[in-house]
Amino acid sequence: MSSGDSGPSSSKQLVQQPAAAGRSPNQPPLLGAGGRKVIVLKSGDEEEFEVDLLDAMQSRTLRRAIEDGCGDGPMPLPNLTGPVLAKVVELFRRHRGDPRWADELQETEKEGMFKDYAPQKPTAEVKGFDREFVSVDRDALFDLLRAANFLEAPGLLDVTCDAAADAVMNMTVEEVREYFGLVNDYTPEEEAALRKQHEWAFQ
Amino acid sequence: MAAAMRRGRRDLINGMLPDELLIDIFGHLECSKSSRDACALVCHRWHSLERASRRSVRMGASGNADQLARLLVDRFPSLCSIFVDERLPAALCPQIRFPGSPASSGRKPRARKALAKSGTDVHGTVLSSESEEMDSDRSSLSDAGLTVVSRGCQKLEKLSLIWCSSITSLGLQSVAANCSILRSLDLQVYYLLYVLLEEFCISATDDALEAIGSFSSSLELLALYSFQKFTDKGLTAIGEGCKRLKNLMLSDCYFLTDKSLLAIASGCTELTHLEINGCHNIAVAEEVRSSMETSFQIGDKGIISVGEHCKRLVDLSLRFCDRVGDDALVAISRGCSLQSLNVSGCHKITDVGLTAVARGCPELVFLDVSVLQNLSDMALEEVGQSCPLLKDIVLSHCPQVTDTGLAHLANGCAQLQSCQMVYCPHITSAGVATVVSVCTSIKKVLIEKWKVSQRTRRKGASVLSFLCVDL
Repeated sequence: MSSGDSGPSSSKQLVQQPAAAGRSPNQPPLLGAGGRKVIVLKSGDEEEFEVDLLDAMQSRTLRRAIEDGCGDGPMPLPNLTGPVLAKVVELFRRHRGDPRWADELQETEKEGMFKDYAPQKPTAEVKGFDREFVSVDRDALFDLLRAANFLEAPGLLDVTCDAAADAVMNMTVEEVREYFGLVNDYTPEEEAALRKQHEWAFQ
Repeated sequence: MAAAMRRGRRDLINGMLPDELLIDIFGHLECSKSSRDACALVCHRWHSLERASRRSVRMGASGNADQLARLLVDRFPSLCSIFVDERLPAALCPQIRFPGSPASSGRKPRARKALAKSGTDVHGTVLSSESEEMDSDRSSLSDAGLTVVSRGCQKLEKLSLIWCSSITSLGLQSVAANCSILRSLDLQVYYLLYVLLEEFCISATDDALEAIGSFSSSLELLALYSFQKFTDKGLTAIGEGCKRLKNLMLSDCYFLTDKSLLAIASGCTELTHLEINGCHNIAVAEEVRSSMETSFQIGDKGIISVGEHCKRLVDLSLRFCDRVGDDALVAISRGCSLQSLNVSGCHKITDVGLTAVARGCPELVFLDVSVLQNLSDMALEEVGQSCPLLKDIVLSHCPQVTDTGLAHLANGCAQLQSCQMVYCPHITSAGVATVVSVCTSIKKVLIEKWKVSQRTRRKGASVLSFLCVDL
């Protein structure tokens, strides 16, 4: 496991303040600033985050849960730590209207719920945020990758996979293994044969 | 992977991430072949995922293209984009070794054998100069190789064959028959290979287009460069079969006439980009057969038909099509709202045609009217009035254009970023000064150096990234 499991002590770094706790599970979705619907996400280490309902819909996993009516109380996400979830929530907020996932929302459009969500091209600001978002150490990046995979959020996946690809770009085989902490399961003979095959004339 | 876990060593990511996510990451590495190769060699799981998910390959000139094609197809089952460029030198592809063919020995003999096969006796001179310029150690992709590819990669969407001089209709027919979802086909042949082509593709090339027309109904892009052997018959088949065609590029296809365009226009109504370059030679061929006057009318007829049928056309390029005149542009301006127009060297075009385009296409962003002898300030005034979005204009070699027209253009097109106007005898330093001072977004001005005054130079220094030239 990785440095992401640092527990509640890291809550100082949070971008978003934890939501007020202790609401009864049957309450309707909270109304945030400006009358928007919000839901509460709860990390594995018991931190709670208020998220705009429409922002949370970027995640297919959360969307399914919300559509199944699980959005009324704090939604437990036991395999995400507080710091990771804080970063993810901030990305959702920044990616509002991002065409990388908004197109998908338009397709599942119901009752004009997303009518304010006209897709816009990612601005320079969003791109800058994305860069900043993944300029973290290797272990933190893997945590984000896992979160992206669990949440099935296209924008988050794109940003994190791109960062992982950037990291291994132009690496040698040994460096890739080292970076990903992978075990070489080839026998020396197998590897030699494969290497020979790859010295090819296509590029 | 299981073995790795059993060994109990730390396996940071392998166990946690599913195949789809790794494939996603590989997808972001599509541009770097060496990185993908490195990933493939990391472990068994990555190897199989990488192979299964590789979508595009580029092949250079290799020792044995057919054998390479066979291996590629076996190895990468999901290929949907194949780019073969026989111009890429073998130096880029070091140490090609195939079972049973040691790479370094036998270079010269093999090359000579290949040359002998391709008809040195008839066109010896051309071949020897070619072979020196290209590469001596290769046999290029043949119909057999292409057939293997087309059978193996039935999901192929994009195929580029650059300089594949040994490919004939047979290979292309096989592609058409097997790759039913092909969307983009790019065929380029080096001009000098024309002589060679005659050897290989004896009047067979229309068959290829006919096959493509009848099988490749999803084709969206077709680029034919220097395929002089194609005639109207082939293009008619494309027009009848490829209803989804969006991009068509024809360069130096000497035997094409308006018949082709009529068929394309009525068949491919979704066309958005049409480029016809250097077909002035058709005119020559046509003139032999018919009178000059009729051939000019024919030139307009094809384009008029495009204007009538292809309402989605946004990009039209008709460089050096001598027979195309104002009537063609009038028809285009009625039917389509162009964003980009290139009529460089179409001598028949005058202010009438350009005025019509300016009025009919208010979304015009790019305009190349270079080498138009009959274009005057009137057209520029109209463009200035009607095309506020224009960003890029090429006026070079327009002898009638003056500072007055340029001023109208500059005042009307506030977003102008690039203006090329060399060899315009009536454009002076005053006109250049107007463009630089009025067009606040201007970034590039191509003009003779002596036409730029000191003042303009001072004023424009901050915005002009490209101020030219010592002419």
